[in-house]
This record gives sequence, structure tokens and C-alpha cells, in this order.
Amino acid sequence: MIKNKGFYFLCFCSFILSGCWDVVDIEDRGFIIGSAIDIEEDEGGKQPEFTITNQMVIPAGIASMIQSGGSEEAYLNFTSKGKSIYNIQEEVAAISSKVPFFEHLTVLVISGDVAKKEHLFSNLLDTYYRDVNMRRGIKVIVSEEEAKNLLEFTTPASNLPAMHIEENLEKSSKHVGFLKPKAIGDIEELHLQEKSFVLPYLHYGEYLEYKSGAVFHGPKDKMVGVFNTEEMKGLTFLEGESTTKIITFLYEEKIFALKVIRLESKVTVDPKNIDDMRVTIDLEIEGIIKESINQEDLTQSQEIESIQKAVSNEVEKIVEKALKKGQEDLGTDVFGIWRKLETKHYDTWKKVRDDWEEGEYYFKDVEFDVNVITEIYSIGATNKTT
Amino acid sequence: MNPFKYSDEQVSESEFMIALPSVLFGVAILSLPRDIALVTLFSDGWVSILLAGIIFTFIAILGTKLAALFPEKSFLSYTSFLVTKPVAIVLTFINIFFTIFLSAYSIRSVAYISQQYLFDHTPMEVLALTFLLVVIYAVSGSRAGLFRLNVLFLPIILFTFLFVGLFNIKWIELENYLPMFQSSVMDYLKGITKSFGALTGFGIMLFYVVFIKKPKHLTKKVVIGMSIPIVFYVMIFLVTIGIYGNLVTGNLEHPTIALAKRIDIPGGIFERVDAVVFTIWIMAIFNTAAILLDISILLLSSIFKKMKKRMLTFILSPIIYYIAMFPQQVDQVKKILNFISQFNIYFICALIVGLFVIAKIRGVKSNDKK
Repeated sequence: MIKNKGFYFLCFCSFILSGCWDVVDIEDRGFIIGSAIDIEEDEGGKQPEFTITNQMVIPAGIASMIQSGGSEEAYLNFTSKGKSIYNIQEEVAAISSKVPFFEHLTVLVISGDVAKKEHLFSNLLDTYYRDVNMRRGIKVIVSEEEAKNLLEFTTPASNLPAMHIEENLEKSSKHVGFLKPKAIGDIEELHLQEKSFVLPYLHYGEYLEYKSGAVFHGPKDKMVGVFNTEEMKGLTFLEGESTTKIITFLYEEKIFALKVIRLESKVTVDPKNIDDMRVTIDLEIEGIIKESINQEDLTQSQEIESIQKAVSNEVEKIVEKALKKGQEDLGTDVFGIWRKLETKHYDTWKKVRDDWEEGEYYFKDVEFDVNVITEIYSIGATNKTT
Repeated sequence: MNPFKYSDEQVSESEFMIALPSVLFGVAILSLPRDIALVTLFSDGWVSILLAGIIFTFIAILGTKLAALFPEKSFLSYTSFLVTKPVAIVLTFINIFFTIFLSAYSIRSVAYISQQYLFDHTPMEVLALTFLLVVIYAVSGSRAGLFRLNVLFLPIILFTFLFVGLFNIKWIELENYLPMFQSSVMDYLKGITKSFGALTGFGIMLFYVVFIKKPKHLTKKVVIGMSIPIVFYVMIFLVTIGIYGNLVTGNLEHPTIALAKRIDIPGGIFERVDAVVFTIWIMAIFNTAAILLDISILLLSSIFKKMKKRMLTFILSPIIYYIAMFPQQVDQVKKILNFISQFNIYFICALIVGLFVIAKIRGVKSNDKK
């Protein structure tokens, strides 16, 4: 036996000294998985007032959904008004009896009205960058209508609206080939660089639809317009991500559908004359015919060749449309041409970087040249249908 | 409860090799990518880190050679031989001052950062005190034990930072690295001075070579010991730049933590890797603070020969706590830490080179063969 009395004293101390200053039981934590920011109607004041909706998960609700087919809701939305976002978020504790916990925040919805106000959007995100508990992978989307509506849409398959949005975004970029949603960390980078970008623009109708994109202008620091579905497609072609995409096109006035299995895009910039830069976009597409309302014999190589040409023309049209809208209507370099300049032609970039999307507006004088090569890889399981 | 006594109070060459990276991995690793990214363009900062590493490896070799000229002689005794006793005592006191301040501010930083990220409500004073008590416990024991603790911790630390690097590879965008080599010579030099903070403490061989039994391949071991942290710094810097780009890296307070937060292991088995990285990082700081404190005690006991080691430790600890808690704002802590680590690097470099030159002029021969 240990004879030292001090030893027993220390053992006793360990009973009275144990404890944790920061203890928050998991039952007391309110896991916030989605936030939506709306702006109150402007009363002319300098500091706008926001309405923020935070979505909290109710674990019991999820359990009951699985077991008994669902009687309780799996989430709770708390909406409150204020001028400081952080303050509003902390106040959730006062109305929900739980300590809000933002580590699992996945989706941040911004209403279109917020996005269209100059400098507002980038200032709003500040608290999300600054708070050490926020993750940098939070997806940011813009909603066409009131942002808080988006956090109320559930389907029988997924009972958490925020999760539904996230899955929706992921599936549509992975399987349909829409533009990848941007995380808050990427947006911080773009804001610091003062560059233009496109965020998912969601429409709340019968379903939650991700069909278009909200275009943000870098130096102006606000949303300046919307890319429709076709223009979004053109943009994703430029990004050259190897996602599955479907091209529908007309061949001899009949509808064809081609599934893209490989896509390569190469953007080269010729910066010789900075007032008239030439950008060449080479696209290589490999695809499978998925639908053809046609009586042609697809085993003939001539036939295939002219179909390939039709596809190329269609893609060229789509891409040029997106380029035109981005360059002429909105004046935004969302295509990342500046990135090519910066990484490949740094000396030229140093000359034009301050006047790229403003001032001299060198970007407006850029001429695009789109070349598309299509190869049909397979015609599918059957030849013709008549 | 008497402290456990090891049969030998000596340190092997390999243990010393491991002590080097243990001291170097410190507070600065969290903010190193930011400091470097701020003064260099795009991904060029790695050149600065590498250059700084090479320079200091050479000085470290020089320091080892110097200390090996006087086998089994402590810092105080061989400096008094070289530059007379009063000067040697002054040099020793300057070193004590540096090590005390550096360990105090690593304790302060660990308290501040862990309060920021882990403990919302626990007061920083309590965190610092708890940490200090653990460090004192380690230091008041045997020196060989402390070195063996380093041997135990270092693989875990290396593995964790490697893990952080590897699991982030899929987020790297190669475009962030281009264009390369656009920084001017001045930028690279600034980058080198910015990496001093992460290299503080490389001079420990001046004080510890005396404990090494039969040093044979010491130069080789010192080179290995110095290159481990350099390689890791370059890796962490490159991964951070690859993921966040130069601008964001320069804007983040602690890019390395952001890196840990970015990890997303598929399947969602393990979501918050940053918590583990924190724990391991605190272990790294523990090593740093403990070795620095141990050096100051070693130097003090070489001056006050009659004092017992534990007595010195207990006298020093409140002083360290006071120094650590003295600045009010984080900003001040950062400024002081930055100033002291820069100054310390210059001092140690000048000390090693100066003493080495004097030793050569005086024609001190290595008396290994005796």
C-alpha cells in the first residue's frame, strides 16, 4: 500500500476537480443544416435589415419518419430579423431552447434581392468566413423567390429541405451535367480576386428546380443577370468537366439526343494585341446516340459523319450563345479567360488586370473562336426505328 | 512519490535527431503558409522555405561541429574557454532570456488558439496554466525521459500532418500553382525572413551535444533532423496554395487549420479531422515548450551550480506564466513572438558562426582521438 498521505489527498482532489467548462450535451445542441437570408424591404436606411431562417434538425423527427412513416416533421425553421447575421444566429438559442451549432451547415440560400444589392452579398458572407466553427465547404445558392421558401420544400424521399437542396445540386451536376455548385471557400477566393462567377439559381415551383445560373459581376460586386438553361450548358462545355451531359440537336429536322461520355475543352489565348485578344476554344466531344427519331441507316459512315457535324454545329451554337450573353450583355468573364491569361501569359495579364472587367474593359474586345470536333462512339443497341 | 531515475542521463544520436524537428514544429506551422504567401507571388513561397531550410541546415552543421570540438563540455564551459568567462555568462543569460520568452509565448499561443477553436468558455488563463503544469511536469523529470517522449510523439505528429496533406490532394487545383517564379529576389528574401518563425530553436545542439554519448555520425543526423521539418513545411505550403490559392492563403488566419477542416473523408465515417489535428498539434507545442524550458534550466544550472534542477524549475515556472500572460491582445502576442523569434535566429546564427571562427583562429583541435 502507498503510505504517502498526499497520494490519497490527490485522489480525493480528482473527484472534486473533474468537470468541463465547455460542456454542451448533445441533446442541447441544435444542429443547423441550412440558412436562408432574405432582405427586408428597404426603408432607405444605410444598414439593411435581414430576415434569416435557420433550419434545425430534430433527430426524433427523422427517427419517426423511418419507423412509422412519419407524423412528426424532421426539421424546424426559425426565422428572425435583425441587422447583424451573427447576432440573429445566436438568438436562435433564445427561441429554440437549444444551442445553435453551425459546424454541419451545408447550404446557404441567398435571395435574389440580396444578391442584386451592390457589395451586400460579399459583406454578408463575412461572418461565414470569420467564424472558426463554419466549414469552408458550405454550398451557396441563389433563389429566385424568397430564400426561406426553399428551406420548406420536402419530398417523401427526403424530409430535410436543406439536405434535399444539397443532394439536388450534387445529382444535377454529377448526372445531368449542370454547373457544379460553389462552396463558400471558393467564393471567398473569387471575391478577393474581384472576379465574376456563376452560382446556382434555384426556382421553387412544383419542384425545386436548378435550371439557371445567377451571374455575379466581380468588380461591381453584385448579381447582374441570369444564365438560362442553354447558356448554362454552354458554360459547362467550356469548363470541360467530364460529367455526363446530354445534347439534343436537330438532324434533318428530327430530334436526336447524344450522351456525352468524354469532353475535353482547351482554351488558348493569343495575347499579342491587347486591344483585340483572340481566344480559341477547342472542344472535343465523344458520345453515344441515345435517341433518334429517324429512318436513316446509322451503320453508314457517311451518315455518322454528317450527324457528327450536326452535333458540332449545335454545340458551337450553344457555346457561342453563352459567350455572347456573358461578354456582351452582362460584361462578365465567368468563363475564366483571365485565369488563362494569368497562368500562361502573366506579363500581358499584368498590363490588363486592372482594366479587365471595368475601365478599359479589355474583356469586351476579346474575340472568340469556337471549334468543335465530335466523335460518335456508339449508336446504341439498335439501328433504326420506323 | 520520487521521480523515476533513468540509469543513464545520456541521449543517443538518434534521439537528438528527433529532438530537432520536435523543437522546430511549433506555433508557426499553423500560420506559416499565410506569412509566406503574403510576401511572395503565387506558389513561389516554397523556394523561400527551402532556401531558408538549406541555410539553417548549414548553420546547424556548423553548430554541431563547434560543440563537438569540446566533447563533454557544457555550453558555458566551452564558451568561457573561447571568449572568457564574463562574456560567456552574458551569452548564457541571453540564451536563457530567449528560451524563456519563446516557451512562454508558445504556451500563450497554444492557449489562445485552442480557446478560439476548441473551448469557448474556458478562460485562457486556465488553459495556459494547465498546459504549463504539464510542461513543468515533463521538464522536472529526467532529461533522457524528455527526449524519449519526443521520440514517442514525433511519428504521431508527422503522420498527422502527412494525413492532412494526403487527404487534401483531391481538392488541389493545379492552376493555383501557375505562373511559377514570378516573384522578385526581394520577395524571396522576405519569404526567407518570414520562415524564421518556423525554424526557431534549431540551435539546440549548442546545449545538448554534451549529453550525446559517442557522437559519430552526428552531422548526418543533424541534416536528417533539419530536413524533416523543411520537407513538411514545403508540403503544407504547397497543398495550401494548391487548394486555396495565394490570395486566400494570405487572407486566412491559420491556413493549416483550414486545411484540416477541408478534409472530407468519403463515407462520412470521420467528419471532424481538425479536432484530431489540434490534439496532435498541441503535442507538438508541448515538445517545443518542454525542450526550450529544459534548455533554460540547463543553462541556469550551469551558472548556479548549487541549485537543484527541480528548484530551478519551480522558480522559473511562475515567471514564465507571468511573461506568457503579460500581453493583453493577441496582436501584441504575435508581434512579440515574431520579434523574439527573428531576433533569436539572428543571435543564434551570429553566435554559432562567431564562436566557430574564434575556435578556428585559436586552433582548437578536435580531441576525439584521446
